[in-house]
Order: sequence, then C-alpha cells, then structure tokens
Amino acid sequence: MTPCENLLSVESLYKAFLGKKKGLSRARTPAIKAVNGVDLEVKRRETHALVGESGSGKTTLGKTAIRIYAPTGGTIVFDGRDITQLAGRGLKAFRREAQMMFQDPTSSLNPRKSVSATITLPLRIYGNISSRQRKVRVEELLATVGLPRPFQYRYPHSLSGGQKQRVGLARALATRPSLIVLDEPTSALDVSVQAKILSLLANLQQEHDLTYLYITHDLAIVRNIATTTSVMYLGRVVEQAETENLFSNPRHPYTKALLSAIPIISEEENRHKPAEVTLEGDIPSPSNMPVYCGFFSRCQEKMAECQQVDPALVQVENDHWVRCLRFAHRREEERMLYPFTTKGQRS
Amino acid sequence: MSQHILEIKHLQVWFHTIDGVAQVIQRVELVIEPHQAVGLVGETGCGKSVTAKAILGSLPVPPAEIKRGEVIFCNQDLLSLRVKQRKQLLKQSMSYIPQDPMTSLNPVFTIGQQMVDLIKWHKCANIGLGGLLGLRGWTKNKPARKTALQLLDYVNIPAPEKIVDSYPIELSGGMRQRVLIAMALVGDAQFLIADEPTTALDVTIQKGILNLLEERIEERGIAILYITHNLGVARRLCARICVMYAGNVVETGPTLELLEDPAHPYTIGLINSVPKLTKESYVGIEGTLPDYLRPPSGCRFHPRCRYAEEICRNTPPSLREVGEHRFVSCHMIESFR
Repeated sequence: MTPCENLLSVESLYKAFLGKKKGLSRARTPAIKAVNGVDLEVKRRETHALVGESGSGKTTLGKTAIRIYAPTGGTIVFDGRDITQLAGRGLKAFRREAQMMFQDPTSSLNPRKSVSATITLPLRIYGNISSRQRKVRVEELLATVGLPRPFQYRYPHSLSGGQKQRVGLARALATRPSLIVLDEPTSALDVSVQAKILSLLANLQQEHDLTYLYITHDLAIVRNIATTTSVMYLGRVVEQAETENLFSNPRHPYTKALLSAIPIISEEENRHKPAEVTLEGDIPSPSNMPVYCGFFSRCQEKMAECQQVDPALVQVENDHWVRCLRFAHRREEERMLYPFTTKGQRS
Repeated sequence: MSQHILEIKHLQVWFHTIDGVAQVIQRVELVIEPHQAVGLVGETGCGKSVTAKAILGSLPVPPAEIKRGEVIFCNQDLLSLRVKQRKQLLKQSMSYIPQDPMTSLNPVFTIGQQMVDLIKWHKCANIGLGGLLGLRGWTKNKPARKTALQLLDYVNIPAPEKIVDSYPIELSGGMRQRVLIAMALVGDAQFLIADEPTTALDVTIQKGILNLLEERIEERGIAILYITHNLGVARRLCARICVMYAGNVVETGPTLELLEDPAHPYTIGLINSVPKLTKESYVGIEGTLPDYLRPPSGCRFHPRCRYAEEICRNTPPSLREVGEHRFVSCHMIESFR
C-alpha cells in the first residue's frame, strides 16, 4: 500500500472536550471523550461513510480529521503529509484542500449575506484572483450545483432547504478541494429533494475527482452511495468494512442491531437486513466511559469476559475490521495460521 | 358511521396573512377505525401538522380559519361543539405526542412534577378529596407519583426513580421523547395523535418506540394517527396510509398495497425518491411545493406531474375509489395504470 493511496489517514485520534468549571476552584467536571482512539483510512475518490447514533462522535471525528477542531492526541496524515501540528499559513493552505458541508441548511448560511457573497468568501480568502474572475467563478459554481444564475443576488431566507444546501455545496467547492466532509447533508431535506442532492453529489465526485467523508445515520443512503463504511459507537470505530461486505455480513452486535432497525418500504429490502435484534439498556456517558467494552450494557451477545477487557480493532477478513471480543478470541485461535494484526490498541 | 373513531370530511383551512390568504388545507378526507394506526405521510409543508391541530382544536384563530368541513369524533362534530364541551371530550378520549422532544417539556420543572400535575388533572390516581375539589394543599401526591413511575417504567425508561426527579435538560432526546409518550398515555385515551415522534431519534431508539406503540394498539385497542414523512416508519406501524400533498389527501389505502402498487403520480414519485437497501435507483420529484398564497388551479400537483393534461389544470380532482379501500384523487389515473 503506497502512502498516497489513502488521501486521509488518521491514527489513534483522540478528541476530548474539557468539562465545565466548578465554581471558583480549578476543578472541572470530567472531560467528554468525544473521539476516543479512532483509526481511519479514506482512500482517494471513495465515499467513506461514518455511521452511528447521535452522540457517537461522528461529527467530532469529521471536524477533527480536517483540523476544524485541534486533536487532543493522535496523528492525521493528509495526502502523505502530517497535518496534525499544522498552524498559521500551513493550516490555511491545507484548508483549501479539505472543506466541509454542514447539516443544517439554515444556520450554516449567514442570513445577511447574499448567495454570491457567501460563495466568494472562500475565494477572497484563498484565491488571489481579481473580482471579475471571482464573478465568473461564482456563476460557474452556481451552474455546477444546478442553481440558475440570478440566484447569486438572493438571500438565504428566500431559498428552500434544498437550494440552501446547494449553496453550501457551492461554497465548499469554491476552493477546488480534494476532500469534502459531508455532515448529514440531506437529513434536513425531504426525500424528493434528497434524491436530487445525492445524485448531484455523485456527479460532482466523478467530474472533480472528489473524496467524500459522508457522516450520516441513514443506512439506506450509505448502502447506495458509500464504498467503505465505518460504524461508530461511543467515540470509537466498532466495525469497518466495504459497504457491500458490511451489509451482507455484519459482525459486531451493534452493527447488526443498527442494520436490523432500518425502516424499509418493500419486502425485497428485507433480504438485505440481518435478523431482528432489539437493543435494551443504557448508553454509557462519554464523560464516564467504562474501562471495558463500551457496548457491554446493551449487547445481546455479551460474555462474562466482556466486562474485563477492552477489545481492540481486529481484522476478521480482508478489509473488514471489528472491535469485539468474540472476534479477538477467534483470531487468537487462528494465530498459528495467520499473522495476528491489531489496529488501534489503546496505549 | 359508528364504527369510525374519527372521520374528517372535506376539511378546508385557510390562514390570513399580511401577504394574503394562504389556502393551506384544500381538501382533507380521513377515516380512522379503532384498533388501527393510520399514517399521515407527506413532505414538509404539506399540511400534516395543520390537520392534526385542526383535530385538536389548537389552531390559532385568527390567523387560521376553518372554512368548511367536519371532524367527527365519537359521533360528535368537534368543530361545532362549544369549547368547553370539546375540551372535556378531548381530555377523556384523545391524547397527543408532540413533535419536538427538546421544547415540549417545561425546563424549570422536574419530569415528576410535570407528570404528577397531568395525572392530577386527569384524576386517574387517588388524589384525595382535596384534589377532587381542586384544593392544592390538600391533594395527595404520592399515588400520582406512583402512577408516574409505573408509566415511565412502561415506556422502558431505565431507573424511573432517578428520571422522575431529573430536569428535562438532563435527559437525552430519546429519553425525553419516551417521557412525552408516557405523558400521552396518562388518562388512557382511546385515540392518540403522534406528530413525528421519532423524527429526531436514532433508528435503534425509533424501533423501540414503534414497538411500544404497536403493543399499545394490541393491548388496549387504541387508534393512532401517526404523522410522519418516513414511509418506512409508516410501513412498520400503520395499517393504512394517507398520502398528503399541498393540503390535499391524494391517495389512501392499506399500507402494503399502497407501497407495492402506488397509484397517484405523487405517491409514485415519493416512493421512487427513497433510497432503498436493494440499491434500486432513486430519483427525486422535479419542481417544488406550490405557494399557498397563489396555489395552482385544478389539481395542485399538475405543475410537477408528468401525466398532466388540460383537465388537471382546470378542475380539482376528488377522491375516487380505485380498488378495495383504496382511494386516489387523480383525473388521469386510467390513462397510466
């Protein structure tokens, strides 16, 4: 594997948010470990989906991976360069290459700025181009995202949700990035509009050689557009595999529960779902994480040892990684046959 | 007549705004039978929640105006009842789960206080003579609190003794939603309106809540009007689906038949827009929802419809029976089916 096959690779990434201050003392409430040792490899031109329930750290991971947040620990390598410690000019130059599209179409656009002002801002910051060239570029970008030219004079309040998301996408595309982090770009939209935005994203990926890190909780979308999928739970990746593989053969009990809970609209879809699993029990708080497997409290397949050991991410198949003790055991039995590989062992 | 728990006949609701009259609900026809969940499906702004509020009588009048129509609930027309009578009727037999778990609970009272108040209002626990007479200081709180704990336990909230004394801000979205469901179950209403109760939740928690409602239908035989924009959720819970577009019910029928073989062009478009696990291709619907201030003449879907002809531009269609229990409001249905 050459280093440049992966556009983005993240190694044991940690991101903790400091707790609240307690009164006048220096004491704080416990820190919230939003991302807790994640390894992630995003290949060039692929769509890598991050799925998981709310609070599992998907968005924090996406934002930390492109240095919107400063990581607490770990390394981030983008296009062969270590960007973990970038600052100042280096960081500014990097931002051109990795952009983000946000979840909420309304709050991610400035209501006092026209569409053209919103889209030209990144051009002003990063591109040393004349104002005439900028005008041309804005029209070009609007055409790319399928908005008519007069839209550049309009303001966000006069746009529909889908149109606002298109503006957000045009803004992300303005600096010609190679990676775009898409944070639930369609969760606020209706299905009829969502389908249009998804096909637009797919076309743009083809045309501009884009790589997407797609954060979502809608597994039906993931199945349709993602090449690789990582399932997150409590700030960790619990399973990572090619999408086809993940859906046809989910290993982690949480993935199985997640897949079996997808609401479907036709009988044929049932064949692509695992048997019904119902989760009970509570999700541990990310500020007070158990030292053993974080899924223990809700797991249907738990064993006695699960409460003693924190499992590592182990490879169960080519490009299929699982963080579950059941598979760690199996690997140990097979140790004599195959070289044992682990990823993301906690230090 | 009497076997329906709720029947809406030709409901029409307008809103008077500064810019003119918004004709939001043009024609809603709906029938709900006992022991049944009916899904009211449609996209944002199609009038689902306005319909629910018209049933509950919680539309602000003005700006809203109910132009015409009847909402027959337990053989009485809610719209012609006097306010006091209507409130009494709704208190006894109707209940509501609001959409937004974040803003529907009062942030300054604990869950327990809010639930106990509601239980006392419903008088469905032993609240003592003082409670019945409305004397605050002489009310018994303990039995009401016990009922609250039972309800919280019923909706699968872990450690209800702890939750009952916490404030809404201390709970997650899924927990708050379950608290709201528990509150909707106070008073044992026979009819429940659920306005997108699972939209803000994760699929695993959503599934738990749907199971809970399903259980309630089976155990107590209640009827539910389930408002959602997610066809998959409607398929799981509902026996029948009503599809709404721009203030009209465009199609209604038994869930499985409607999803397998949709008849209205809008329903077809909607189903084709949903990404599916089978990796079938999905396409959206061209165009946008019409402006309610200047709605299109004739069928409101005609500017976005592939099959639209002259008649669609001039005459609004009405619901016609096309199969057993299936009604579609479309002029051109014979030409493309």
